[in-house]
Amino acid sequence: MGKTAVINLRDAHIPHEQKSDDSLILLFQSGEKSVFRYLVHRYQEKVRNLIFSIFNEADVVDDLAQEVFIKAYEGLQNFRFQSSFYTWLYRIAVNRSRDEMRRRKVKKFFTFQHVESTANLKIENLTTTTFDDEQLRETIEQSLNRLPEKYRLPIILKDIDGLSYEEIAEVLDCEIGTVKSRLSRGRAMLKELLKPILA
Amino acid sequence: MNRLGTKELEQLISLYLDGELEPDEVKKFEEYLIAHPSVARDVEILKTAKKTLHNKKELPVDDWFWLRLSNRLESKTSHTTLRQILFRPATTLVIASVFIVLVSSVIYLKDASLFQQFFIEKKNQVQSSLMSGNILPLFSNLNNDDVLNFALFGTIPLDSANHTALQVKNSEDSSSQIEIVRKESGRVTPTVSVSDFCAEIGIQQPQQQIIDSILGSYKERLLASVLVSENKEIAIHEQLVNMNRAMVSTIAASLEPLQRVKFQRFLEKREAPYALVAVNAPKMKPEILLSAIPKITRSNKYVVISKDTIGIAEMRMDIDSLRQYLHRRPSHPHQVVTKHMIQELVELERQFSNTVVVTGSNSHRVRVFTDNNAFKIDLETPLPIADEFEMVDMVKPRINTPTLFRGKQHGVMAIGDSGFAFEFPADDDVLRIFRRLPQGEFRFEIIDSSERSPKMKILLKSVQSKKAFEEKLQEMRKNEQQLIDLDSLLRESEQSLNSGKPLLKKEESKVLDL
Repeated sequence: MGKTAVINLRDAHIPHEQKSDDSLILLFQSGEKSVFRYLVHRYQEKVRNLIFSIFNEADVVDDLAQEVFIKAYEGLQNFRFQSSFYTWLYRIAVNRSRDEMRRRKVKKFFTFQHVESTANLKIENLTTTTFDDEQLRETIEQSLNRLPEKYRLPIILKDIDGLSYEEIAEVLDCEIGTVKSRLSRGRAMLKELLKPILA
Repeated sequence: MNRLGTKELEQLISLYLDGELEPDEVKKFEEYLIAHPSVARDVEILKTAKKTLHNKKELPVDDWFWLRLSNRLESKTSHTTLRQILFRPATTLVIASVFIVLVSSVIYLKDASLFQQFFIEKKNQVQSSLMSGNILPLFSNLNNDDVLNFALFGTIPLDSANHTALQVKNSEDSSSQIEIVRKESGRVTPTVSVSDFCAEIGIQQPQQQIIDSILGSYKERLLASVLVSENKEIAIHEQLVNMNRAMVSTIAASLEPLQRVKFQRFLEKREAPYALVAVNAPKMKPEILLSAIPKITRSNKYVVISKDTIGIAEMRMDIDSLRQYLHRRPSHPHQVVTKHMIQELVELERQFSNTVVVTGSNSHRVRVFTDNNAFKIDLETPLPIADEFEMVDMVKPRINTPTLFRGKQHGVMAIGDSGFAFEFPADDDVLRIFRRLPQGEFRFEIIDSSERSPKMKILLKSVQSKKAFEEKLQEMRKNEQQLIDLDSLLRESEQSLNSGKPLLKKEESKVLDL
């Protein structure tokens, strides 16, 4: 953890589009609020896709993504460079998504036992099915969506967004050990869901 | 590798998949997998899942994300600033001291507050509705010939065959109009190419380059002037009606006096809507002219037409995003959009009779006319030419260009600083209802119907809200068993219809208090 903003003096002469995140944030904190747009352009698609991965619904993406950036705009003045900007932004996105999930009171996940029993019911029909890539993708994404949030989020951040364990720990605000154990447990559950279909 | 517990095995698989094992651990684990085929199959399943998730399809890029976000940020910032001001200790004291006065005033201003609230809600609805979808500039494929024709005749073709065109008109005395007109055959507008224009006026190189630069600058203005959103709203820049006049002025200012004489003849010959008024004024330096052409500003007022609302809303225009968007999609289906837009406008016709029109703070009066092929917005109070276009005004409206529009008027609505109103078809039910309304609750005025329709229209003044009116109307419709004598109003209407004269002239219109 722990990080200091390092500004290259030559940064001042390069266009805003090419400036580092830290340089843009320092400019923002010094009053040049307009540079926020460059941070938005840099990360808007990542945030939108992260939210899309969490909800798998395109309809919610835009509103939530905008709220994430509004929250970031409001908090950027107090950003202390303890983490990288994008993990900080991801944390806002994850927290906002959790709020939304709570608000909707969506309980998409099944208990593990329930999942097993449901999956078993489908074995006979599915074992003979040949999957094309699109069906495979849909099956895997649907199975992932059935995992409880605390196991699903680390898998999304790791396998879809390619974050490191340290970065995931920062985003989810937990220890690296917790990330590892949730990943392994989540994958084990995912495997149980997919096994009857893909084995 | 010894026999592993379930949890330990799960962790090893996970670390192995993430490439987090040391080389010697990898070797041992792979040996373990060879010895345990069922575990190896599990690992394969998870490898497939990981690879598939890594290649998950991404959402299409949202070119307008920043534009929408910046609007929300701006609105939020202004609210925050207001809150900061309000909660300063000194301010709080001042607020407290006037609170008592306000409380008593509010009782008397209740109706006005309702109106304000209604107005703000509608305005926000226009803005958010427009901003919620992707916005497509209608004029993204214009060339300099198109821009010149807009300058000279106020028309821009909307399809390649020139069967449909957008036309703007303004006259010195009364009003400005934006029309979308369509002809089943033949061209809607006259056309002149830049080269023909230059040849006729006697413009040589490098003077033609200046004309090209002028047209190029206005082309960008036109790009941001008419926007169509995916949610089927249309936004027309309120200064579009003044833009062609400014363009003709700028072109005229760049010419020598002798060329202006030819230009004057050129305009007369083609029955262009403007005449030059300063033929002998000195020629302006090109650098002054070009620098004086206004650039697109961030904040702009648009006449916005959505399914249930028409009005003037302030919108932020991010020209950079617009350019990026067009660069990415250079061949957007212009004609498809145009056709779609016309269909939408025609579809709107059916809804206008119950529509409220919201305008900005100025007392613009917006009229909407439709028929099966065309659409017209009449800005009855002439919009002042914005400061930006006042730099050179070398022309005046010459004639009232004959309009191709033959449609009828629908649902005229207006809101100014002092009140708001909306029209309602005066069918028998409505007349019955109005006669039964409690005295003083509503006021209505019978106005002349421009198409001399036997159906009169009723203008409501200072009504609490449209909703209140509609509720009252519904309530009254339920209870209309008693026959109401329609007396003189209907008789006058019939007489008017028979004589072919309008029932009442506007200035003679009478206000009835029921």
